[in-house]
Amino acid sequence: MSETTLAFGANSGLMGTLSAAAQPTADVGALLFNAGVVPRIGPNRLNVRIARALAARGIPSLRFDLSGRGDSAPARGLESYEAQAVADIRAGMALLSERTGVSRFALLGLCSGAENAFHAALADERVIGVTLMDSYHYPTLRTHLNRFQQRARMQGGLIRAGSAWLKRRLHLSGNGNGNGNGSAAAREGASNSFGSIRPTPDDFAAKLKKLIERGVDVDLLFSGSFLETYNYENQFRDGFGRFGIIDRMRVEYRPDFDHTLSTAVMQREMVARTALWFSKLGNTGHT
Amino acid sequence: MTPVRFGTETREMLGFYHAPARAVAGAPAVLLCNPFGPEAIRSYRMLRLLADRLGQAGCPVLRFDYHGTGDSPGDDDVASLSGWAGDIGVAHRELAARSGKSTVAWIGLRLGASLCVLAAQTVRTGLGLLVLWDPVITGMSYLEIYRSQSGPHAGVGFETMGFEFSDRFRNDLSTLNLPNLNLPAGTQVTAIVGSEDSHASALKAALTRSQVALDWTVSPAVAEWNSEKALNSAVIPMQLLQGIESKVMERA
Repeated sequence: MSETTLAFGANSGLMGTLSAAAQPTADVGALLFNAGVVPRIGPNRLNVRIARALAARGIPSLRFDLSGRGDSAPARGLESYEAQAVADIRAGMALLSERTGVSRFALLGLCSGAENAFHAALADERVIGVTLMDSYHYPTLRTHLNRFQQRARMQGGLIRAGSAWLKRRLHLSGNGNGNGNGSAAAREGASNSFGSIRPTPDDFAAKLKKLIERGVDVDLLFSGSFLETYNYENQFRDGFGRFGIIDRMRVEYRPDFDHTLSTAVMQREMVARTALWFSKLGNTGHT
Repeated sequence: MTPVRFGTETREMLGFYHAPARAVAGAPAVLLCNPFGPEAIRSYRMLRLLADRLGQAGCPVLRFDYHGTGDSPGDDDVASLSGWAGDIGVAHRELAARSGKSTVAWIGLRLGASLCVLAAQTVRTGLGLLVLWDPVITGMSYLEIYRSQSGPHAGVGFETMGFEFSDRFRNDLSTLNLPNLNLPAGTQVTAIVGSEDSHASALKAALTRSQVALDWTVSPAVAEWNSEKALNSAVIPMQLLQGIESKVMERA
């Protein structure tokens, strides 16, 4: 394996590290980038570990900083946040293609990085696989009931939990804040915790369907860090079963993972999971 | 800003060299020394901006990841204070060679500051100024901070936020006590601490006994970057960076 750090993109403003496999086995390259404001190495160096595990399997990768993060220069402000992130990811694809010869790409996005990966996958047909960890959450009635039960257990009884729930509801309806769980806005088109606009369920399903019909392997991963909005195994199936896409994608709930994969065990499992998934992408015969 | 790889084949490191934007007489070369683990991630953008500012002021700057950390080659399990202090010496020589400057100022943040003091035990020539920014004064208190946040861990040692503290690293830290280390008399030292607690007082007394040329500052704002709020909002304490830049330009 060799690693090279270099500037690329418009005005050479982006910075990334290319991990090239000693014995390339795949025509697919992986792109890893920021989770929130965390630099390109990823939470707790996760992206470095994943890149090296991929290289050991013959898969080249580029881990890089999006505009204005880590070592990359700020964007010139001519594009929206979303469009700029897509442009940055495309610049990463161009570099990876030029340096390693790959023509198809897989994206790994965590947190706000998942949203960026999702938009880039929609925008560029060279993307054949995308893992989105803790992207958009759509709580169901059962999500709220589970949470209510959890609170009741923690608060020592249904009456106390019910009282607290009622207070929260009154507070939410009083201040007009649409971010609360259970509000109409939370179900449709509200801002998520990262400040971006969450698509409506219909819109999200339509976009996922578009990716699936294009042959993209879609992998949704949910951690156990957001009990308010995602808290049981079949939640996504319950919310999106009606769209007929569930069985054509991978959806996994990992309550043993937290949002930043903050233990060595989580990191090792995430590295192994990602390396296995990416290596299968290289052998699926996508064209 | 140019990415550079340096060190030996078995202990390579990644750094970024910031060439000076303009020639300024007397502007020193500056080596930035990272903190460890979660603190390194939190401070990453801030140190990049500090390097940019110093470069604009005419200083050649090198910032880098110790071997086995950040984006440098190597695995986490090679963590050792002596290894990283040695890396500072290697980075010092790399910067001196690239910049053509015979003296280099070191700015170390948190554990990076402590590593600078360790490195100064062996790098006796060419050290122009040592800036100790919120240094980890005793390894035991540092271990306690992380131990209190650590979760269950199947292996040896313990871990916090995905960073493992091996037995070796933990033993290293347990013996770290800056007041026990001597710096050569006359060394220019700027220390910036968050409060004048017992550890800070012991360090101040030790530095005074060492007869270094000490500039001691207490500023509650020194640790503002190191909080959940700052991480999530990417807050950069610009006044603090400005103050450090001024001290480097005045004292080095």
